[in-house]
Amino acid sequence: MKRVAKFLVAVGLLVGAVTGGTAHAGGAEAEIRVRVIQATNTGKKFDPDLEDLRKFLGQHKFSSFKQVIDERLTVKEKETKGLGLLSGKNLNVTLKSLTKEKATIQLLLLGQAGQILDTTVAAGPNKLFFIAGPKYEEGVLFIAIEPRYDPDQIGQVDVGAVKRDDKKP
Amino acid sequence: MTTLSCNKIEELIAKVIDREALDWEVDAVKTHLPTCASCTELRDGMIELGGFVRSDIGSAVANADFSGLMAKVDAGIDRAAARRDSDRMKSLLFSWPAVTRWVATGAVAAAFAYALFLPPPRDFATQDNRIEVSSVEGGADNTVMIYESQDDNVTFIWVIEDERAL
Repeated sequence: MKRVAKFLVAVGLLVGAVTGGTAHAGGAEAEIRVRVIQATNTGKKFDPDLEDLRKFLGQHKFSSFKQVIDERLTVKEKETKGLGLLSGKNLNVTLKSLTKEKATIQLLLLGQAGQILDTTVAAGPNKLFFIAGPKYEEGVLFIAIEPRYDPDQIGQVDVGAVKRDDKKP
Repeated sequence: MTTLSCNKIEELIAKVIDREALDWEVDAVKTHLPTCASCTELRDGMIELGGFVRSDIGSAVANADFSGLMAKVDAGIDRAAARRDSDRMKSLLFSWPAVTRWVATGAVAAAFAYALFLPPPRDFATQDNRIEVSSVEGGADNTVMIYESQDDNVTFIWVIEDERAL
C-alpha cells in the first residue's frame, strides 16, 4: 500500500510540475515571443506556421512568407536579451517596466553598419505588433513581437511608468 | 514352471506380502517355499513384522482424533487461496508490466491535465492589438514610419532602408 501511495505522490508531483511550469515563477518577468519572417517575391508560398498572422502579412505586396526564427525570450524587468537575426542583424529586447496593463519594451535593432531602429513601445499582454522593413536577400524581414504574460501574476501597477509615458509629446 | 534362486525368491517374498507381485511371481514363491526352509523362515518373519506394523497403525488410527481434520484442511485451503490472491495482487500492482502500465497511465493523465490548462490559441485577427509607441528613432540612413491599421488594430513600425524594398 505504501508503494501505491508513493507512486500516486510521484504522479501528482509530475502533473504539478508539468502544469505548474507554465505559471509565473514570481517576480516581474514576461515572455516575449519574437518571430522573424522573410518576405520575398520569389515563388508563392505562405508558411503554415504563420497562419495566425495571415491577415496582417497578406496585405503587403510580397508573394512568399516564410518563418525563419521563432524565439521566446523570457525577460525580467530592466533586463536586456539579445537575439541574432539574419545577415548580421541583432535585436536587443529590454523590458523596461511591466504592469498589469502593459509591458514597456525597448527594441534596439542593430545592423552591421550600426543602429537601424531604436523604439520603445508599451503593449498589453498578448498584443501583437510588427517591426518590418530590414532588407534580407531579395526581400525584407517582418518581425512579429508579442509580449506574453499573465496580468494576474503582476503585483502592482507601475504608476511611475504610466506617468513617464504621459510626459512624452 | 519357473525355478528361481533363493536370492530372487527373497525379493519376491516382499512383493507377495505387499500384494504387489505378478501371478507368475506368486506361483514361483509358492513352488519354492515348500522346498526351502530359509526362504520359508524369511517369509514367516516378514509376515510377523508386517503384523506388528499393522497393529501399531491400527491402534494409532483407533486412538486418533480426526474431529478437527476437515476444519484444518479447509483452513489450509483458505490460506493457500489468500496467498495466491495476494501474489496476484502484487503482480498486478508492482510487477514491471504493472509499473509500466502505471507510468503510461500517469503520463496520459499528465498530458490531459497539461492540455486542460493550456491557454486557448490566440486569435490575433479579431483581438485588439493596439499598442503605444512612446519613442522611435531610426539609424543614420533609415527612415522609420509607424503604420497603425484601424481595421486590423495592429501596428507596423516600418524601417525604410531602401524605398525599393517597399
